[in-house]
Amino acid sequence: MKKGLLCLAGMSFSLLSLVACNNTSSNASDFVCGLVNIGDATETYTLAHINGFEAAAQKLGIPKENIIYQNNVHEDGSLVTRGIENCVAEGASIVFTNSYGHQGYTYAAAQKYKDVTFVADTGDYAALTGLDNFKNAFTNIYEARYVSGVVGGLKLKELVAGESKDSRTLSDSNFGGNNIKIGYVGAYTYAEVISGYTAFYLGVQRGLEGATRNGQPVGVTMDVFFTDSWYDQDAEQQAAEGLIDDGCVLIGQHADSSGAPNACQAAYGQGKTVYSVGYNVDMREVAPDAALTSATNNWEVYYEYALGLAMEGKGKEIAADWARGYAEDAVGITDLGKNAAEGTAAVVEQIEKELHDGDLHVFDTSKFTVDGQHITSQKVDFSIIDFATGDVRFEGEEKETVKKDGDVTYVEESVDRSAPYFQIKIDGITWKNK
Amino acid sequence: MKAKNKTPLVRIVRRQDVSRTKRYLAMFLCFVGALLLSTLFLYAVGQKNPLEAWQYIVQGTIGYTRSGDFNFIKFYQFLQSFVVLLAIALALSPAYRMRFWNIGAQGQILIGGLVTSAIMIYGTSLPSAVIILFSILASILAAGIWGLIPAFFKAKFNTNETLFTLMLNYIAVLLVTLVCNIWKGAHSQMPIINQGTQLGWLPTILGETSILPAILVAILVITTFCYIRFTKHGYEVQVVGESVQTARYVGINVSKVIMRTVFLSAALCGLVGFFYVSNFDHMITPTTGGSYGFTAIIVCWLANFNPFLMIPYSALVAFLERGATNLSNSGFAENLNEYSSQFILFVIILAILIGKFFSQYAFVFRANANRLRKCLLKGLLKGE
Repeated sequence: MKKGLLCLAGMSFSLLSLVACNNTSSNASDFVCGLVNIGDATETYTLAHINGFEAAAQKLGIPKENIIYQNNVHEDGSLVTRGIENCVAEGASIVFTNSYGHQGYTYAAAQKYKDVTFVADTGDYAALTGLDNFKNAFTNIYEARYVSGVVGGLKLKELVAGESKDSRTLSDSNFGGNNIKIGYVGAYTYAEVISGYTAFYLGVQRGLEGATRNGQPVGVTMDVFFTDSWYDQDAEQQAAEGLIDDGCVLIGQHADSSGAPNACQAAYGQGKTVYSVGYNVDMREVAPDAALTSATNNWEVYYEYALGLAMEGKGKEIAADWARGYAEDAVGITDLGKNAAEGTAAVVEQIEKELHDGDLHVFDTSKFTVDGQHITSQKVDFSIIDFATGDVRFEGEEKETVKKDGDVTYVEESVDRSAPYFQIKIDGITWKNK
Repeated sequence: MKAKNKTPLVRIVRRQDVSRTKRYLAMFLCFVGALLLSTLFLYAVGQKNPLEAWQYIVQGTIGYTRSGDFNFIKFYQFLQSFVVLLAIALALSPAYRMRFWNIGAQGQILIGGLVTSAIMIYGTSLPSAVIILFSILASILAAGIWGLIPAFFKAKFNTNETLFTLMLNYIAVLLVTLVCNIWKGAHSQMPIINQGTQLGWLPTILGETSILPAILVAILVITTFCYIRFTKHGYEVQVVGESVQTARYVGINVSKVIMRTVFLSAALCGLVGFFYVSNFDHMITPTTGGSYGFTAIIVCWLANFNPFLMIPYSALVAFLERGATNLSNSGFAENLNEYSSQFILFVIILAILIGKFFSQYAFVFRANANRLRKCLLKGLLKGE
């Protein structure tokens, strides 16, 4: 009897779940969504979006033919408007645009098509517009950059100790005083890039902790070279080559091509001691010896969240500013390269756990100085300025970003707004060409 | 070493005996042939039912959502392409009637757009209506002068206007790139100009940017037609186009006519640039105007420089272009991407051009001397 009841309960439960399942699937088959991309699957940044989008859609049971891709939509006038409108015309109830420069057009579309939800990924003013169908999203990529920096720092420490597996060593040209030289290829002087390279630099410092040379602790200095483009294979390669010629041992990047890893691999092949930390995708294919790891976005987490709500007709309930990091596995690093230092995986696991649990603050003010001082206050004005005319587009609040968590003082990032706003220029980092 | 036979193997002779009906029939047949050829192409490349592919092409203009509801979004996109093509073709027609081959429409559009953006950016203390008025005047003037440069050299030194206007396109593109780089400073791209205040934005009708231009272009068709057909200017253009000697002989100031007509033609292109910046895009980039400045040349030719005929031809080109984009976006077949889809557009245009050619000219072979004589004789009788 008991067994029978249980069986019945089990049956009704499975029936229930069947009904629930049917519900979502019928929902999913009518549900149309659009993704407007700056590039296509051949470009790493867009590929990460497409992969994330498809994985999320698959999880939610959205059929492939209900996803409308608009690829190669450059940040260029009517192209963007048409890309967005094509999605709406096909009946999309939510449309995402993946590049910062799409935001203005996404905003205009949100004003025009009130029944559709629009998300400008990496955008920064959706919340300030007051529209309930216009959203922004970003990942806390700075956390992953920190971790990728640790991987680089551990490698430097191994090199200083003369224990590198590939028997590469450091020479005096790799040092300035007792500081190892490293480089970074950045796209623009935006907060997004500053926040990213600072996190990377602090990660390297963390990995290098405890390294000594001639009885003195070893530090690190970083040169940043800006390419003025999100994607420019040649410019990124040349920038990296210049940094390597200056004696940099480790090259990080915030630009979307494999130009920098390419340059590192070529220099490594010529016998130089240099390693690469990439972005977006595993760079081991282009730099089998030089690539240590890459920081990556896992957009699936956000797309699953946003598409899930939109599917239930709750597009307007999507957070106006969404930014998550390790806490929800929205960022990560790729598999370690063969020349990564011994024992790296264990350290990475430990740090990732700290970030996941919220025990580690990347921008801990005790870990860096500005003009030799530890900062105690950093106010950020969240107003959006039209830089062409200098007018204030959207009035935002001015907020204190230095926070306390127990006895740790840190600069908060991507909480008041999803798009990064950490843009403090800290000691030890030099802009090469600005 | 005497030349045995000086008669060439093939001669191209103008047909004198073709009625208008026959001419159009020939073009129509070519068009149908092109449709069949394109269908074959769609099948060969796409490896799927080509009729379904055509359905996507049609839906580039007449749009349905995936669940089958009709909406006007794609129609308005079509309307914008159509109106822009028509406007540029109309702008080119007076110059072309004069046989001044202006292929600098692209550059003239950019110059008009550039001054419009400058006024929108630097004139934010002015009321919107004033900005719009200034922009219209400035874009007409700037693009007109831009066109006047090659016209001046053509009129005074008989330089080749085709090369000259072509080169000016490159200069205009570089100029826009340069200025945009200054405006965008350290940023990845220009923002939408005055998006917050909408200063200098042309008002829309029913919230759509392509309706007002459509109305204005309708007026422009009639105005251009009247200008060419019924005014003294139009007559002068016609005479200069047919023979500069004759024009001089009857006392027409040829230089003046060339410069005036080209100024007008370029100014209208500049106005298209104004519409791009103030109405469609609200921003300027080196690619503003797409390649319509060149595509419109084909439209203008197909229509024999006749403003009314430009309407169906612009519509056809815009329809095929929107359809090709829609087909590639639909993901219907992997190989039918933007490029292969655009191929159809040019197959059809080419077919019409061929049809046009054969309805006006005939190949006469050496052996067929009678035919040649007949053709030439008819021409003589007609006074050609």
